[in-house]
Amino acid sequence: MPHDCWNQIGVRGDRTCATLETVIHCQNCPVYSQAGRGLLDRPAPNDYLAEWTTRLARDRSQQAAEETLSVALFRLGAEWLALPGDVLRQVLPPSLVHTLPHRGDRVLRGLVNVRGQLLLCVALSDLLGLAATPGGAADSLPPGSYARLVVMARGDETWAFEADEFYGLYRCPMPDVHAAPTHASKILATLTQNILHWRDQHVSYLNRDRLFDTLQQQTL
Amino acid sequence: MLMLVFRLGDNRYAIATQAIVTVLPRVNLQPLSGSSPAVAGMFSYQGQIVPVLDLNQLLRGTASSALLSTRIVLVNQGAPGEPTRLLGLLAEQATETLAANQVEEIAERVDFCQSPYLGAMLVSQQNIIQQLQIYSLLSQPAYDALIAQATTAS
Repeated sequence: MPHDCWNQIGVRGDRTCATLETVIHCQNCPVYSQAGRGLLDRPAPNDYLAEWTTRLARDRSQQAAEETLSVALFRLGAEWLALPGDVLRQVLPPSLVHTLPHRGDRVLRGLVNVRGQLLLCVALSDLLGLAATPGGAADSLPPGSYARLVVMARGDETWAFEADEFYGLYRCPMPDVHAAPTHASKILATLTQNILHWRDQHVSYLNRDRLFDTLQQQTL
Repeated sequence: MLMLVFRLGDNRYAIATQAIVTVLPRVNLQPLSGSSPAVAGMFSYQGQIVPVLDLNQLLRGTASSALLSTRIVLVNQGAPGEPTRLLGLLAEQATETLAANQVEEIAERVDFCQSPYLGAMLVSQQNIIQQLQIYSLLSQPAYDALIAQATTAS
């Protein structure tokens, strides 16, 4: 077997290796993984050992003392917002929202089918009074490319909403959590619990109970 | 059951992963003077002093090579419910794991040697792998003596 068979007869070579028929790609081949492990059979640099010695000696209890807040970050229009991480249930590609007859309000958009379960879908940007700002930074992105359907729940109460982008869960260090100032949009101010500092931006961290209560009042 | 496989010379050995706390890169070990050559030394793991046994020295009589693939397998020798007794095992080429369904047990225990820590013989793809009983590697008094020695030395 040549020393770098993947370059000669494998996927980077002329693909004549007989094993390719069974493993399909070199990365599934034991020869390839064995060669990868072989890379570790070399002397460890001295500073590498010293770095790990000090890193492992560090007391973990000090690291744990730094408290974090787990939030789910998403974007509506140009505004980044945060929800408590534990209300998050699912994040899915956007799906068709079926409007409800005789419900003309803007907040309740209709019903969505989430894995066989019918959920009420709301427009959080309308609830929070976040008007679409044309010409914002968000408009430079192709529309809909990052859109997600987010499912959140408090107990049995489950809501779906459409976000223009979903970043994911983020552990915000407590020093980056600030008290909420008065916001330009009034309803957003009442629902905002804290302001988080994230990527040089100020993100409104929504209060779970106030958000769910407002959703109920507005839609039911 | 999952097993961590490592190599000593041409022979392969396995440790059941239930007892493994974590696998660490090799670090600079502080030697413990006066201890048996199988004790490679000690190091501080999150503020706790952990003695390290050199498995190569223990089973073959030569020191482990100073390569990146030589790792410290941190095991807990305390039985469930007991306080943790962390022990580091210096193992060469500790880069593979094997699931139990990939191996076949051929002999429960080979009793021709004096080493109580050698366990069942396993076969995986025509390779013989011997299991190590980590609970028999170091008796509790020997462990306590090592810890006491390490604490006074540091």
